[in-house]
Amino acid sequence: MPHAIKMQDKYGKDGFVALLLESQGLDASDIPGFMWKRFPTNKTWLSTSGDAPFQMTGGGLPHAALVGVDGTLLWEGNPNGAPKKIEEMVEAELKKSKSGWGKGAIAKKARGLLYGKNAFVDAAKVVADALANAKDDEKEDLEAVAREIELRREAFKKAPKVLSEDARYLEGVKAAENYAKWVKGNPEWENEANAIVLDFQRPEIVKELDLEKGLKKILASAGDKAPTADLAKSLRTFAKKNDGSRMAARATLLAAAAEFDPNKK
Amino acid sequence: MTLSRLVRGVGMVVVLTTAALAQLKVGELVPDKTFAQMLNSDGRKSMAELKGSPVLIDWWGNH
Repeated sequence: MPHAIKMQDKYGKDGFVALLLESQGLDASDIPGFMWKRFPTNKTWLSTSGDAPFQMTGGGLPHAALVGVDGTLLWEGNPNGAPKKIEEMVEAELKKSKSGWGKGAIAKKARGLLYGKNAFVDAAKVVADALANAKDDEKEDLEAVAREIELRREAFKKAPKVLSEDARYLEGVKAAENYAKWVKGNPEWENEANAIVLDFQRPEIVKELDLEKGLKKILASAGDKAPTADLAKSLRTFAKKNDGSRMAARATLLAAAAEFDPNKK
Repeated sequence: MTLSRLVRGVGMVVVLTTAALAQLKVGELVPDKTFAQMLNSDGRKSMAELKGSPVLIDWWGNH
């Protein structure tokens, strides 16, 4: 796990994702506290529901698998035995994401626009223009790219809502603004995106956004260190003061995580 | 519900469960999976939505 955390810090800004799956039965409610106490700067994505897309091969931990940008399995094994190899593969995949891939030059170009730049409108135009005259073998891949454009666009369109459901409104605003920027040039998509951005200007959301800024200040006081009893106390006080708000509920969860004892059995 | 329908239904559940937990070989497509709860994500919550990103899946435990 420490290697995954380091890789998230190193490559996360470029689009890499380290996805952690708890596999020894730790209660989902204990995972945030466990991670915060043991790895206070952790930015990896953490599934707390015990899900896995496939069963790991081999007998035990540590265990990891690298999934390529096209969704295929590239490597699986003990990450402690191959950190350099994994990093080299990740770097190659990040390059592939920027340049694109596919059965022809046009599919490759469209995927480069889509995954390398989030240029949804340009990618869709490249595919639409090419589909009209494509041969059968190219057409299949171009139609796949068209589906990928829709899937990725829908994912980023709903991201602000997903983040808001977790009371992460500040990140929700940023996700909405990014989405609006990425779909500029398509009137229908732009209208949808503008409505999502405007939704964050509702009075009740503006209030939550202000509260979240206050909560962030409390969290920032902990710096990069493991949460202390004092921090938990500050979070409890914030929750009590703002009782009834979404941010109070979030502060309560954070306080419980800060109070978690990682040595408990 | 007839017995044969029930048997078919149970069989389908077994097949789906087995498929969901199948092991993979290098080069095979990773099945889609939506994660019910995800911390630190950018709002995407499934393997399909992560297409275009290299993803290191790390199985971990605290024991």
